[in-house]
Amino acid sequence: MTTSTAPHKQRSTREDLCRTAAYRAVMHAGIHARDIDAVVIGTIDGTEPTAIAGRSLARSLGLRTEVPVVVINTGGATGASLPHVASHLVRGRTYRTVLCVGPPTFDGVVDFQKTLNTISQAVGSPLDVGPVHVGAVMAATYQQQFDVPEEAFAAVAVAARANAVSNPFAHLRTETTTTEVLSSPIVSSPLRLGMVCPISSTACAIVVQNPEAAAASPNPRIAITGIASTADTGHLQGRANLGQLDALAMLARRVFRTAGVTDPLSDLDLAELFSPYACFELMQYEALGLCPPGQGATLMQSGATRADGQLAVNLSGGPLCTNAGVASELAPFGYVTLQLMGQAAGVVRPQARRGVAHSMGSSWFACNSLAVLERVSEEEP
Amino acid sequence: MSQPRSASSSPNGDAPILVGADVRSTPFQEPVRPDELLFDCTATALRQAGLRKSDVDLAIVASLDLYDGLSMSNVFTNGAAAGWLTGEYRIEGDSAVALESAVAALRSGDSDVAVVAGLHAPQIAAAQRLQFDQQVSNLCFDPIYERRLGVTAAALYAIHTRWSIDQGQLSAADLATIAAEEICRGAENPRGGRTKAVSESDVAASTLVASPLTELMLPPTTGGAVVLVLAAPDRAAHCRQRRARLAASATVSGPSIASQDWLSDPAGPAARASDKALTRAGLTRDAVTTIEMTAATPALVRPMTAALGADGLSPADVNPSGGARSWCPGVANGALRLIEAVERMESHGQPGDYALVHSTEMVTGPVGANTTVWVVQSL
Repeated sequence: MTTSTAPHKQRSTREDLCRTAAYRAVMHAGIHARDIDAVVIGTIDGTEPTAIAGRSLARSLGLRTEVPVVVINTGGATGASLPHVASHLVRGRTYRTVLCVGPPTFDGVVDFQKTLNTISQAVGSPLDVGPVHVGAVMAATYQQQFDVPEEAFAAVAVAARANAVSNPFAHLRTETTTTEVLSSPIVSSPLRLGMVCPISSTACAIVVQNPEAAAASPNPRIAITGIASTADTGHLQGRANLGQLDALAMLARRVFRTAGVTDPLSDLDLAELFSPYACFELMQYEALGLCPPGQGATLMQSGATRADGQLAVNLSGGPLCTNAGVASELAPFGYVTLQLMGQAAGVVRPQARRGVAHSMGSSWFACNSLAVLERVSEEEP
Repeated sequence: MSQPRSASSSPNGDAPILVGADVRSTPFQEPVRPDELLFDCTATALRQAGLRKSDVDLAIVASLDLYDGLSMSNVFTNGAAAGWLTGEYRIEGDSAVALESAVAALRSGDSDVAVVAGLHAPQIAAAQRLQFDQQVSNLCFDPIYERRLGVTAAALYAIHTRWSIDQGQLSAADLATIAAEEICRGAENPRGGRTKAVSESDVAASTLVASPLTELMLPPTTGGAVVLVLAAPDRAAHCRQRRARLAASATVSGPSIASQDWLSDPAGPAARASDKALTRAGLTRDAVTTIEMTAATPALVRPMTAALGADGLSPADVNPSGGARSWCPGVANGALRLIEAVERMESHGQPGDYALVHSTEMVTGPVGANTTVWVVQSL
């Protein structure tokens, strides 16, 4: 990863950021750039002011000239799709070593917020809504169905910001308080400024290898024991319940079955969840089966999701502290991996052996990706 | 034929099986809705295979949003391609690359049934298509050094063609001859984009796109959707049909515009990809009976033919469909070429025959694109 900042303060180009992240990942994996067999990179052409940007960004990495480049675009879920594709390509014996690159999404020459505010018009009904309005509708529905106070949303933001303070890769690294969050301006009711993600600039890269290639790694080996993506409909009228993340719940059951997770709260040590709006994190607890519907806030209040709780959540600070688009959708996979390796840069979950990485996005947050990662090296973390 | 023909003797015994396919062309008189086109196409392909949507574990859509005039199209295309509430993602690239990813998923054991959908459905009126494509192509090049020069895919193809003529590799008259032959061959193909036979003079007299290339020397600006349904071997045994075995593949990225290899050796990536694919399949070139290749210009036909080792084949066995000059539905091209090869083997070959299927992305012409070669065995 690279350090984060606001796009208008970013002094490096997208190419520089991707190159830095890629080479850090390659060096961390103990391999050489020539060992990379394929690049899986994500960009959101059409939303970003670019055309096949993934191809040109991959070329700027300076890898072997003939390395195939697989460009992924699943809208706001793009970054999360990268490890899924890489996992297929490696486990299907197409390639031994695949580099996933998540570029910054919001570093264009135009104010990206304006694009975000109208993106739904481009892909769906002309409702004149953007992602934050969608998040607000979901938050309001969730509140109404389960009588969730806005203090519960504020608590999520306060916890995330506290975790991000010691994460050198996070964008917002200052603590906040419930009072500050609840006195911040309304962005789209009931979401206040303190409950929504910043617009950030950073890049992220991870290396996925087959077991034979990874045997030479200087790091503890982390296996992907379950990974999948899913898409609900992007049309509002097709969604069964905006107050619950049904598609994520179905995906979680599928991934947990594959990974042998029967009780996620007990079987997992940590989770990095893509929750750009505070309400999502509580809804994700419920979809992942950590607690019954409507009990997300209670679970959080119990301390179960703190670093020393049953299942530590978003020790990186998550997207409430850093959201650079594709890079930050890939970041949960990187953060969980570093925790399991015992190499987390910020808040550490001691003795972590199994974690879950999640990301979501696209129109009406229709797409989700989820992976269970597990430390397979024998030595204790 | 010196090569063994039984699937069991292959080093890729778990190679997935093509169990269903459907192809739709769109004439562009009126833009079509991508999701409706894909839904229809996917439903037909699944029916052929004797499968239902609920059997599908993974759906991969290959499309290029900018060329289709769309953004974040996955929210409606992936669901239409059987990806609703199941495994799914979208690749911005040729469907042959998506096919590689789907085959890997099947071989990994993650999926039993996968759908690969190639889609090119521009939301642009037919009269504006050529200009639109050129403009988008220009945006794909470096904004400082290349874009401002007006570089486009057609411009680079034209530069290569002129260079080939200057090198004495072919004459200006050859361009029209080669193009007319391919278009006439494809005109017999009911699904072709160009369904009328043309003469050399028709080709030469068609609209000039980038000198010396005329409109009929380049792939037609047609769209469409191609859907392939794949199954793991044991799952395929329970399907309604087993059409072909996807034995092996390789993808190689093309040179940058600065290297100039695209000018002097434009078929280099095709040669290297075919070598790798054949090695992975445990075959040599003399095992191949049919070749479907993607040569965007007449000047690329001979280099590609040589690179793929097609010199020893009968001309009737090389691009029997007419190739990309007959019909090339954007990034659905890779899947289309594969279907054309399979149908050729089914109609003119025998079970166990092998085809080599070559496709390449063309949005930046001969530079920077992925080139993919598939080795496919008829069943």
